[in-house]
Amino acid sequence: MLDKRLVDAMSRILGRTTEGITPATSQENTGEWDSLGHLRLILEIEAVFGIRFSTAEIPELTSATCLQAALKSRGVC
Amino acid sequence: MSSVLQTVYPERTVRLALLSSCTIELLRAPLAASLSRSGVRADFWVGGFRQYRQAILAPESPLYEFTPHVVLMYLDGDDLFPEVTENPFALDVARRQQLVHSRLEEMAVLIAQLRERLPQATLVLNTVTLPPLNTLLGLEYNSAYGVRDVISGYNAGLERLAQTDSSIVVVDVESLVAWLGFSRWRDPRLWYLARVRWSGEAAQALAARYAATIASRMGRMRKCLVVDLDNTLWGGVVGEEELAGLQLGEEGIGRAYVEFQLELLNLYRKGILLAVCSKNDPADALAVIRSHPAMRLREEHFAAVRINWEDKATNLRAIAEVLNIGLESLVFVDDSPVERAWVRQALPEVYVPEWPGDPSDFRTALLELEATHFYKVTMTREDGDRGQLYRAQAQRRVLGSVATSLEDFYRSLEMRITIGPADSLTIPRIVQLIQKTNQFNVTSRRYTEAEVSALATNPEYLVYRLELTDRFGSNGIVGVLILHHQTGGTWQVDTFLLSCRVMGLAVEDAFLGFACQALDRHGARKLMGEYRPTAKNTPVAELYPRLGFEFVENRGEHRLWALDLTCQRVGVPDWFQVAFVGEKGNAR
Repeated sequence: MLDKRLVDAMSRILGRTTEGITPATSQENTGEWDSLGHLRLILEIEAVFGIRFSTAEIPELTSATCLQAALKSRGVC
Repeated sequence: MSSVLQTVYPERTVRLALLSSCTIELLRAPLAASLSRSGVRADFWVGGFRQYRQAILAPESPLYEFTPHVVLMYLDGDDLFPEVTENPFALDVARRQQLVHSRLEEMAVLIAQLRERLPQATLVLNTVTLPPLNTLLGLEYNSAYGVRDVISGYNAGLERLAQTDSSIVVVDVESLVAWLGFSRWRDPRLWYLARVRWSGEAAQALAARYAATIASRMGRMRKCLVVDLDNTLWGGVVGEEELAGLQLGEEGIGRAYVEFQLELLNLYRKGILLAVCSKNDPADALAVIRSHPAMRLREEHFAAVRINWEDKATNLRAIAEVLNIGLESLVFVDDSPVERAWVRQALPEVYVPEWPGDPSDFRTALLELEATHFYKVTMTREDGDRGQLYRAQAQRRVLGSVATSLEDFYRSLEMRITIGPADSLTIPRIVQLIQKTNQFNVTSRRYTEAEVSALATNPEYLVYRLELTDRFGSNGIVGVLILHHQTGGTWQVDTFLLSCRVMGLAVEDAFLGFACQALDRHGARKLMGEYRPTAKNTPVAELYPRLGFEFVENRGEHRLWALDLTCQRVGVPDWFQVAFVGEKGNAR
């Protein structure tokens, strides 16, 4: 199960319904998730959860599953 | 919020071109959102990364196909002055001034090109800053090296450039950065990953400021601020406290209310209407407004006052009616969350901001409110007597400083003029100018190619064309002068025109100055100049008197001027190199 706040953030930035966001949602299978969309998504998630990803980490967080794992490892979801 | 505004304002679409020295895409979504809150829909054209120069200077640039209403060009200090942060020790004060000067010159050229290709567009520029935490640290102000003077020099020069042209608006990014704090402004991760010069927060703040600027130019700002009284203009409740018991004055928190009032007074001076909407006994409340010694706002500052026990929505409607403005022009400030919620629900057109609980924050809250809902980028005479006075003083200062910097600008262009007689190679272009030039055209005589060819060989006429080259290349033939021999030693300017491309560079002075010399060889003693007004040639209505010609007479709508060549000349400005080609023995 994806965290609801993560789903909401992804739905806002990627312009999809919350139903359209699943653990399999990734940069590869989502048109709006281009390089700019990626930055906007990262910034939105950072604002919502009050965290900060490292520069090395950001390019790796390219799917809902990865994002959820990164949030879990920080203990914010 | 946006849906409400879109119903009260008919939505308008603005074509917005974004140019930048860095990645600007991140600005697009927040800018579109901010604009939509003012009922403005934006169509974007986004220039390539760092390609602002190419976008402006390339003749076939898609920027011009897009025909933007607004060209927003964000240049970052770090992109503009990479030398400074890379090695500040290579730049002594003279080199720094030179650097600033050359960047400003480039900016002037870009502006001129935009003005020519997009004469109707609003051009939004920005002041710059450089990282306050930089190499110099303690050496700033204590050594021969500096970063701060680069910023201040550039920003001051930008202001001078902007003041020459009312279609340029400057967004003061330097202040915006200082307000937010540079460490919040910049997110180095975004710089390294995507060449973005802002943090997410900074992009939001900048977008809000840009949106306010554009909406303000489109007349989408609010007109009237309506305030509550108790715990808003002063601390405490009138009727429950003695006059002396109210928090208002130099003591402690009383000063916060005084400063809030001072800021409201400045809003009034900027031409924003103030009004009162309050639940009080009117006699008690008016007594405070009229006689409390620490009140900065008095009755005269309020365009409308509604103090009674009716509900605030009804009173706000009455205020809008008496001022003859729409409810969508009102902003309402009240310390009570209950009143705020009631007005928001009853009158969705009225903007009701959240309001801080602590009066220490009122002044800042007001300025933040102003930055989004009362943002002004011009002061007009109607904005108040004091505003008028400030404006007149400011303009005198501007005219003085522009005159000197303009000459510097002319000199920096390294302009070379070539003048020659009309011949078969040049006549097609001469005729095109004669047919098409409207603004700088003193007589607007529209000759055909056959007519010009005939004049060119007629000994009673001298037909000259002028070519202008500057350090960026040739502008081609941009001027035509036809002189007609009258009787005796008198000649008359039959046609005198310049392409609008080269107006404002004093090319006309050089052209007529040359004509005076040429006429010497023809034994001329007097040169007549005629002005034939059209709907579009007012820019040259005062050309002849400016060049030293004496008024002779009106002939119907035409005006006739004369220059006595035996004792007068038109001077050639010294920033031009003038060469003559084509007639034997006349080259100089």
